Amino acid sequence: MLIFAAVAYDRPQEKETIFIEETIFYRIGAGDKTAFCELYEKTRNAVFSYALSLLCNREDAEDAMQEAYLKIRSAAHLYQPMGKPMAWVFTIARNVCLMKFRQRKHYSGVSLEEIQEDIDCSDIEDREDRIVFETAFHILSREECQIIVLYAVSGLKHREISELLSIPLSTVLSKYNRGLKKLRKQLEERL
Amino acid sequence: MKKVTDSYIQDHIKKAVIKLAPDQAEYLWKQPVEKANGDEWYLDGLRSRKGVSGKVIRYASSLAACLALCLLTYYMISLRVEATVYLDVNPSVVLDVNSRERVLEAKANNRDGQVILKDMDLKNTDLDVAVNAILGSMVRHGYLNQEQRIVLLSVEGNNRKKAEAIRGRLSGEISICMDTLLGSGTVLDQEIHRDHELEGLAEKYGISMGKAALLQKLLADNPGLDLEKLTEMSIRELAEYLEELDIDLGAYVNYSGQEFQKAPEKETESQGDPGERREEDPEEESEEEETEDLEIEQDALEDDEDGDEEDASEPEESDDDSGEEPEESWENQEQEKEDREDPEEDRQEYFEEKKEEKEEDSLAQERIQRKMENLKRRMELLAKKKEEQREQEEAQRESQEELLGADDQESGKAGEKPQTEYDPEPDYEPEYEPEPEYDPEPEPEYEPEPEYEPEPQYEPDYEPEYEADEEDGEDD
Repeated sequence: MLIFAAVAYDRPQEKETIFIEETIFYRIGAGDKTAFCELYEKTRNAVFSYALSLLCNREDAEDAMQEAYLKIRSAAHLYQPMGKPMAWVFTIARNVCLMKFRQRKHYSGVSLEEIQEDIDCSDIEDREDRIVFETAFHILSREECQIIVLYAVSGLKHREISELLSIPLSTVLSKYNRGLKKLRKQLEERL
Repeated sequence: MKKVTDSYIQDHIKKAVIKLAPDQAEYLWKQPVEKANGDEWYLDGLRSRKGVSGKVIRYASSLAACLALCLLTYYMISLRVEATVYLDVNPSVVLDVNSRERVLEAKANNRDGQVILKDMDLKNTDLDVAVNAILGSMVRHGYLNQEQRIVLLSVEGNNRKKAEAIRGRLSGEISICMDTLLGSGTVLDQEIHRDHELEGLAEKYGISMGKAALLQKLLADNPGLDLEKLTEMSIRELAEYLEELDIDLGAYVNYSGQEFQKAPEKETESQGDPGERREEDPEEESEEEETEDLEIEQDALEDDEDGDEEDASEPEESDDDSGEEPEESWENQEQEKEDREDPEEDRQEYFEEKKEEKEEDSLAQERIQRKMENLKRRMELLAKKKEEQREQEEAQRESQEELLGADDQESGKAGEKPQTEYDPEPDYEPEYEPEPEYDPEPEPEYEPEPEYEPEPQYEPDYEPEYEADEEDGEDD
């Protein structure tokens, strides 16, 4: 019984995949507000976490997220069904984030590696949530952080993450495991 | 220390993000937006996927690559020379053939070969068709004719089985073609293997690899041969020359036809002289003997009817009289041709035919022997008749002389009587007129004159008649 209980506890919980009907984009393109709200509600956490992992700045991530949803609205009528609506959303979000980064680089003159993380976690009331989130963004590399956050929030699988980030699947898996190991070690000390 | 698990980390990260992610759906919906036309910067990475998915493109491209590879391989294989066929008469022609036995290139090794291939585009034609066309051109240009109808076929290939199959098939094809064009012909065929020595020999003397291979084999066994002289000869001349030197060409190349197993070059030379060919084929010999014997039989029957002495000597003359033999040999050639076309299938029939022929031959020989014995007897009888007639003549002359001597003493009346007595002489004269013509021939064979003189059997039959005449004459 104990063994079964231990196995059941250690078994990773089933991921909650985000299901989006492809027709939702036609509805948005046709001016359906409900459809847009539905899409926003389903995808906002994933898009925000992705933007945050790319830009490592809360304000920039929020701006990028707003802009990304406006672009989704303007291009919704161009959507062509290919069975991957989340990939379409993430592609627009990435392009917006990259544009944001270029603008920031242009104004500040610093590279992506030199950007200081500025993640304000004061809004997070739960202590453990805040510590885990801060630790993840502080101790993990940019790619490790992207992979772990996307996996935890967006509901994407490792294969989909490797396609989205254009990183080999083996690299995604190794970075994911290595990042979690680092996090575990750090969190065990802090908590 | 609290134990931290992967799910714990994921859960807390998710909760934190949910807390931080802004809820601005209403605000964003109120913001004015322009509809995109597809060329916007934020659509980078989406435009290429319009219409066709990446998987379909990948599969299609890989399929196209495989197809292109297959086509390329097929093209390369069809362009690869699988075998090389050399045809030598005096014109020398080389055909490069691919795995589908289609001609990739036709080349001439000498000027005669250039004449043959002039105005002929044999590229990509079937090998059999090309060989037929070349042989036809050789006949048209007079390189193959009734006197010269030997073709040397040499096949060289990386795949020995394939080369062997091509050689066997082409040999039969050429043989049939020559039979059609010239009545008959000889195909000397061989399989050769290219090496530096052979290439050097062919290049040095400007001859084909096939002829060079044949000369190389000949020189290996007969080092005394003059190579330069041999290279200048046509295949027919070479065959004749080797026959003069008593070298069997069959030890170096294969013969396609059964009729030329011993000396194929003889066939070409002795076409107008069937007497030589008779020595080559024992079956033909027996058949020709039969025809001779039949002629003898006919002559003998004529002898019986005419009672003429001239015909008695015809059996000896019939050796030279062979007007029907070319037809016989032509029939034999046709039979052999049929046998040659599919010898494996008709082997049993062939053996049965042979048995029947042998039986017929033995029966015919027995018949001939019997007839020969009868003829001998008749000849003997004729010889005896001649002797008896001579004796009678001598006796008559003696009696005439005696009578003339008596008439000298008596009156001239007695001289008129012998004229009446010898009235029957003209009856015998026509019989003895041809004697000088045939005397020398039957005499050496039978020489029976001394033997049959003492025979008493026929003397009583004739003697009384003439004796009576003489007695009557004397009495008169």
